[in-house]
Amino acid sequence: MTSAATTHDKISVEEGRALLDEAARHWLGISREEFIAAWDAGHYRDDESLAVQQVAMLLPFGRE
Amino acid sequence: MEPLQRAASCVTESVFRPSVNGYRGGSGHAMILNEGRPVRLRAAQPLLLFAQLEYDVVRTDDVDRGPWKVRTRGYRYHVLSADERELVLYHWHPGSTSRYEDPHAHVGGSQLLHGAVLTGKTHLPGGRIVFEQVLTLLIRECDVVPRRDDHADVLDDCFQGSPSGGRGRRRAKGITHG
Repeated sequence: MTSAATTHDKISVEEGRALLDEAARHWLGISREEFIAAWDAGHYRDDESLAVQQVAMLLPFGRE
Repeated sequence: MEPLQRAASCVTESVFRPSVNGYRGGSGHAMILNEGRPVRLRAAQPLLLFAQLEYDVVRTDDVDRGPWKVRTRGYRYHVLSADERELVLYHWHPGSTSRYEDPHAHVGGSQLLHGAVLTGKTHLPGGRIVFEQVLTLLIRECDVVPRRDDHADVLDDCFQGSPSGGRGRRRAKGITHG
């Protein structure tokens, strides 16, 4: 039996950036900065491929 | 977040963590399971689970939930094989780069025969899916081994507490995904 967890640490800005960079390199072979630039330029418009979505899910954490 | 974490505890020790202002009132928050790294599930064919939700924290007059409640604005639930091939992806990401803004699913290419009408890019329309339903699918249909004996009750309780469950949809124990 495992008890339910409650409140967990927020992901800091620095940690979020590192996680986004890690995901971008793993799934797309590019850096965090390259992914954000391509995302903002619309290169991933309507792209719901697994790799892009795996990285996109970390944008709220590591974009800033 | 606690119901979601309680549901996750049925299959993993990994936790959901929110974005930097994720406990404050306001919009544009997100939470993610295991920092976006794969959650390895015990099953006859080992599976990987990824889960991310985007949400707002808004005021509510509901005395049982208030004064604040979480309003989900989107999600990504990904179930992959151990070698990182997609099995099924549940998406709802309004305001993202996709023109398809309703909740939908993608069946992974690894599950489709060559030349099939459906492809991995097909948006299969669907109602809003809650995380507890994904976990129920994994345990009931994909032979994922639960970590706790009371998983059915936990998932049912969490589902009943979710917006989808609270609207009188089928109980999690009886979900058939038809």
